[in-house]
Amino acid sequence: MKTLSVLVVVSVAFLAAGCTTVGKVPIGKTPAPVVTKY
Amino acid sequence: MLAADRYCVRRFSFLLFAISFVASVFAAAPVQAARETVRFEGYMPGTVVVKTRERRLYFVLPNGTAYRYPVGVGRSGKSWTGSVYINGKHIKPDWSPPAEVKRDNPRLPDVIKGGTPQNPMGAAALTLSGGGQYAIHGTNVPNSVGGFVSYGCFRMYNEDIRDLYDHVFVGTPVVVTN
Repeated sequence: MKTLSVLVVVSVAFLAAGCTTVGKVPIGKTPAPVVTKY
Repeated sequence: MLAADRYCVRRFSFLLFAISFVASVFAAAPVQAARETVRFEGYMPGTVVVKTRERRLYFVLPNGTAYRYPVGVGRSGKSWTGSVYINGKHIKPDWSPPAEVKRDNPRLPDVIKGGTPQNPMGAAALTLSGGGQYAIHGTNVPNSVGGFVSYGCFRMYNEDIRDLYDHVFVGTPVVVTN
């Protein structure tokens, strides 16, 4: 229970700090398609 | 027909079948990678150099050599020269045709899923700065590599773009010459 609470607090703090990506991939989002010629 | 003759005909037919089978297997197998290491000077190590007329892309190494790969380049009226840099690295990206391509091919869907046979980016795409919507990328048409075939992008075998992908980073300079 305590671990879960810590996880929730960390996640909320992470998102509140504007961290919405892991590496360059947005959380929960598919990367946008590349728009290039070929 | 004598039994010996029939035996000869059967053997000959089998031989013919075996030869044509082996030939068809080799003819159907596309070349998947074509990297060579060659002497190459005049550019900083780590630079990507495209020589359009040669239809070759070089990745410059520190010891006066470079990896050389065949590439498809811009067809007549679509080739370009200049100095840009890699501003994005993408593995099997979804692809959307820009306006110019869509105008020429109105039946193209707005988005083609990455990794599908219809996606012209193939195994990976390295997008280029400069606003020209150009990229160095893999292909879904391997036999077009080495030709004057593109809208100005540089088309590599999928094995080759995977190899190049591992050597470059966002910010790698790219020099495109005639």
